Amino acid sequence: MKRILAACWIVVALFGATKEEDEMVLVRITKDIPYIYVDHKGTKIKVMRIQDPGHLLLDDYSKTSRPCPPFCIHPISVDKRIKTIATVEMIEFMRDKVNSGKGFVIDARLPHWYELETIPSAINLPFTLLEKGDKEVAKKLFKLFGMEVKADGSWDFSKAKELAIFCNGVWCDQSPRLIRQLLKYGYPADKILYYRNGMQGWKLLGLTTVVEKGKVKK
Amino acid sequence: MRKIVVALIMGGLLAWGMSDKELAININLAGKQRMLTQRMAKDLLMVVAGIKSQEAKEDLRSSMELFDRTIKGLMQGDKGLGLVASKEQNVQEQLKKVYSLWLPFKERVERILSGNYSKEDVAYIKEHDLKLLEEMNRAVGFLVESGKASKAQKAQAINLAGKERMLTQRIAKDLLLLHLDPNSKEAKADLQESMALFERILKGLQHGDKELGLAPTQAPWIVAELQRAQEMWEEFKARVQKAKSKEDLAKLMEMSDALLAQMNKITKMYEAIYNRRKKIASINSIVNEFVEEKEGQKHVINLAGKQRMLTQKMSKEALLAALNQGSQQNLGQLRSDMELYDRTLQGFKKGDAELGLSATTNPEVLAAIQQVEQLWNPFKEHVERFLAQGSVKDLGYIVAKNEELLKRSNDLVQTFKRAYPTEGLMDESRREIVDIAGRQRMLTQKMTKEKLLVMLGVNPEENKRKLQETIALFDRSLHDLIHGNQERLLAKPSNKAIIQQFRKVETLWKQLKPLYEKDQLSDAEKELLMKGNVLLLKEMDKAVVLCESATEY
Amino acid sequence: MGRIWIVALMAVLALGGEDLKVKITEDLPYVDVEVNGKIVRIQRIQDTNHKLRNSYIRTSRPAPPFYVQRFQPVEGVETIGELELLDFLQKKVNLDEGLLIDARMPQWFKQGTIPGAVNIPFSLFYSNRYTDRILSHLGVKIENGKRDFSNATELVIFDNGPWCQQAVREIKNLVQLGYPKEKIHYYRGGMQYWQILGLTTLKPE
Repeated sequence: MKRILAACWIVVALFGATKEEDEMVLVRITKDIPYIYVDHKGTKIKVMRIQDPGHLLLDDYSKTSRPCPPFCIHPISVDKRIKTIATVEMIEFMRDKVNSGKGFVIDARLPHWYELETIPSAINLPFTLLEKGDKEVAKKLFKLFGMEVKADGSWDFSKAKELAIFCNGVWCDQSPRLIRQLLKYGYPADKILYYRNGMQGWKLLGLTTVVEKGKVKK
Repeated sequence: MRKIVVALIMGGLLAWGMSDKELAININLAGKQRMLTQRMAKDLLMVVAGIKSQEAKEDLRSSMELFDRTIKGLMQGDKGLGLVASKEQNVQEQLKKVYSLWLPFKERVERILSGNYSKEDVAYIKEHDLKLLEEMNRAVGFLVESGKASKAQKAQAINLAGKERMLTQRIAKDLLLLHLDPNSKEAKADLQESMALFERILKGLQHGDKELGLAPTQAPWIVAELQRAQEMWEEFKARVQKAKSKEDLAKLMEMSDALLAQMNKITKMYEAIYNRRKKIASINSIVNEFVEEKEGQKHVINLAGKQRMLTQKMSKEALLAALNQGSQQNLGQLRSDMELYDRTLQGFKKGDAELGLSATTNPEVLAAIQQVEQLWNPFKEHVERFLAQGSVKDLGYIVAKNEELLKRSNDLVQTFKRAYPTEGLMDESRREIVDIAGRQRMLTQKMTKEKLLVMLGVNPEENKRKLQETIALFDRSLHDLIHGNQERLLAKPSNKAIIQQFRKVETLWKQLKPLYEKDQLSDAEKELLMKGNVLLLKEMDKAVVLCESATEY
Repeated sequence: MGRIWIVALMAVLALGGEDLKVKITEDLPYVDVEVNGKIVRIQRIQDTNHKLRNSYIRTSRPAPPFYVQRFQPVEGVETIGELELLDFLQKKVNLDEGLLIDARMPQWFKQGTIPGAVNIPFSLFYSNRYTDRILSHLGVKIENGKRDFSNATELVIFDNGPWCQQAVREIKNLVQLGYPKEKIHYYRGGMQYWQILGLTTLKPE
């Protein structure tokens, strides 16, 4: 499986897989989605599930009992205004929003976690950035997300991107904290999605992850 | 919304004319009537003593109306209260007795409420409220008994926690009586008795009391509420000692109501545990019944599938017997196969405890069985005659008709599948798997039969073609079973035991397949084939059982 | 005496809760639920190195048929998480005001379930012969073949987890029968998330 994906996607153009290849996928994401392609730091990544039905998740994401506090179980919802999504919605978000430039997948964890392993197409926005920052930091950040500053100095979010935010999983507080900060500085709630299952949920379904700048994890 | 509450002591209540729930409502409301007798007496004394008399009056009126409606409802039924009239004679008689006590009581309460009353009216209430309580208590007892009460400790906890409600009101009433007549020995004695009983029950609920039939309460959420009640009670007791003024008394009345509310809450918690346990027991028994029925249906489909195999095995054994000049072993196999086929077919129709079959009433299934029988009866006759005489004519019939019998046997399998629908993709997939794997058993026998026909030179070209088809079908199906096939709804197995079993079949098949395909076989090879096909059938059967029963496919 | 003893016991238990290294949330060390006459304590496995090692770490069950469920597969039926389920156990189930339903087939249920759950396999609601009998225990009044759902019990329904169809099928069936959507909640995480969080499971007797 440790192959260089660039070579792979020359053969199979974006979304242009042949019918036979679709049918070969025994472990599909949904009925209609056998896999998707996304861009991760300039590399096309095929996101699909591990095809061996006997495969087990054995790494640290199968740990049950990280100490609580601080790794406590979190409610299903961060905030009444924020929609919680699951893996299917996350995949659709990547296909429909990220691939068309309308949205970003945000990894809210600290950089060394992000570098270790993350979801393809995710960009890293550590939760600490806004917690330690101020309105100026928020302004700079929001501009990167498509927010515009009007002549009178007010912030216009009409072109701001949608964000799907995750961290390690249901026992991780980093994405809830980031979401609260975004709301505090006025990012529109209807443009934020909370992917609560996070890395753990992603890996429990055997979905492709990337390590070390865009390489697919074996 | 008020939750519908609940039974006191209930055992197997179904024997009675009412449902569990209806009886529970009756017992609860009848039990509540006990409390109301004391509450009315208390309110009335508050009116007389001039303590919060306006509130007391309102409360008295609503208590009176509730008592009146409930007693009528218990006698005649009341949809709004959820009451169904009891059909038990002793219950009805006791209720009538209560009612005849109630009417004069009610009359006087109404007079006191109107403000136009005499000393005699008050005296009447004071004298009769306990009598009314006693008779109502008896009615509750009859109701509980009619439900064939169990003496379970939990039920006793519900009963006694419920009784505490009444005691809160009785204590309050006694306090008022003492206030109105500080020298009354009766009132003093009654107060002491009521308080002692209240305290004992409260303690018993917390720590257990063998004499009262109480076990210590374990549920932490009830323990916490009992502790709260205990605290309230300690404070109440302390204030009773110091009570002097009307204001003190008014405060005590308030506290007794708070204690009533607390005991009411606790009673409901006990009732909840009790009801929940009963509810779960009922649900479990319905689910068990359902599961047993489903298991039975699965078994039927498996047996029906096996019938297909038997049609081919019979033909194979008959041919082998002919080839081996009436081999007793083959004839014996043929006989037992025939008997099993016959018995199973009859079992589908009339039931067969040993085979785990129950009689069918489904008309579609019966029609399909009849279709099979039309073919089977003459077929069986020929098999029997072949067994007795070994004539080539009968063998010819068996060879000519076995595939038609196979087809009808398969129709019966499909009819059973339609009659016993499955639910859920996995179930459907699993059933397909069991069907295909089950069919493989038949194919082992069919191809052996066809091989024998070729070897015997019976329509060699046609049978060769058929044999090739059968081999190809077996090959393809085995491949799909091992690797999965989405179009055929066959999931790829991930259960290790199933995978291993399929591999075993595959290994065996790899050795046998060339023999089926080879034109000329040596005697050793013939023997290998004849032994091998039986082994293949056995291993395939094991795979079917695993596919059918393993939790994770 | 007795009272002192019980107070002391409560103190010890409370202390025990404080002592837990792996709590459910900071303020919630454990939850007690009544199961068949016994109090069962739901807490998390305390070994911080413990890893889940049963079939629930399988990543790739074949799909079909094990398609992953959407976050909210049935519109109007709320999806809940572990904390909401535990709250439901404490505030509803223990007071008989709600029912926690394991919708899986019995052979799954028997291998271990969430304490306090009752097994009603999803396929039961396809069978007319059993449907009304079960519904009558879920607060549904049935008179002359008509179903009155106004006092229907609040339900939380779960199965193996996000890749399992059984709970969703049960929910769809109940909704089709007329069960009010607002009285049904879906615990999507199911047995998989329950166990990956090291929460107590129970083998039914």
